[in-house]
Amino acid sequence: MSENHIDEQLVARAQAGDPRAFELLVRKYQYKIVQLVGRLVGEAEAPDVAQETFVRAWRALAGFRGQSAFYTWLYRIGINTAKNYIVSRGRRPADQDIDIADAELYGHTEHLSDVTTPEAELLSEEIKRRVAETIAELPPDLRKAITLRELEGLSYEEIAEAMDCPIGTVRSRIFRAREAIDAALKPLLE
Amino acid sequence: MAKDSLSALLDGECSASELDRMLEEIERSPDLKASWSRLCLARDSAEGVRVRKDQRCICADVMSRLDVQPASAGARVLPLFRPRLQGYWKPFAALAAAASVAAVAVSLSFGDRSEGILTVPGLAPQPAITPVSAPLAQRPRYLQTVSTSPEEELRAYLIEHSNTLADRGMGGTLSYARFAAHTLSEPAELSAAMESPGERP
Repeated sequence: MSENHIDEQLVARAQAGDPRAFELLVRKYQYKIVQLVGRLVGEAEAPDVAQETFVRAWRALAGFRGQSAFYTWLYRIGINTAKNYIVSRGRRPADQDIDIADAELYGHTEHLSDVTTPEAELLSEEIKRRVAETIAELPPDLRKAITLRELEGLSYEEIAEAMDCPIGTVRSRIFRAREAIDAALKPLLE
Repeated sequence: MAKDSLSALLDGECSASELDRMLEEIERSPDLKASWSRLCLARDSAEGVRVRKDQRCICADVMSRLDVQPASAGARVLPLFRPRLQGYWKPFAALAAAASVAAVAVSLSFGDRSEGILTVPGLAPQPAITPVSAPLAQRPRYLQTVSTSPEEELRAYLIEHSNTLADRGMGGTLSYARFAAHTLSEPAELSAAMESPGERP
């Protein structure tokens, strides 16, 4: 089961009117959307436009047919919302050539990383450093499992083969590794 | 157990039933929600997403603005940020809107042919009480006479249409008056006017 498939499951539940499922999608994609629209409307206004993007996505959700990944669809709404916002403010849209194909070609985020706010860099570097430190301190079996999952992108089944253990064990190891990562990030983000 | 499912969900390794159970639990647990956010953020950071130190979580604001149900399929999502139209476009925009409404109204008036016509939920007009195009036996008595010519068919339609509009308080009286006046002067004057266009009143 891929990550996209999980998005599909959450979307299907949200389409049936379950806001809890949609909330998980908002929590999952909010930072990407804030960064995306921030390139067009500026960092100060990005949270409000991102908020609008999700509200619009919720209202249009019944029309989402799954012909593209959920994030690709959300990305399009984000771009349109940001452009509408700019026009409504009587400003000319930025010359950034943001295309919907970017969402798939660039793995959603890489080409958006030119937002260079010192604070932003500091926090993202801090998060990455904490995660790396935490992973380095994990027991070898947990470290290997989380590394194969997060860095190599292997499925649980593939990790089970690589580590020669049952899938349940892989799942448990990844969960315990994430618990440690979560505990390390908690004081940083509260 | 729920955190275990949360981790599996992040990897797309969560079954449907497990997801349902987790949604139940996450609703009652702010800690679970926060964990989900942190794990998503950790992954985003690894992928290059940058988050400002003072960036607030927008989730609570978004959720407080949601309607209970997402809009139905095909429903229009109204623009929340209305673009400013330049002044000289406004009359054309109004004209285009009026033409669109007229086109929809004309399309809908052809009862049997309208099956393939897309209607916008909530904007579809109320069905006519008795469509003029209904079979003869279903028409009002004054429309049950067998027409001898297309002109009479048209006249019957216009009269019925005017009456229906009048019943609904939609200005049918004036339309009928115009029609009656036109009918009275039609035979001689109209044919004369047709033959000599330059003298048309």
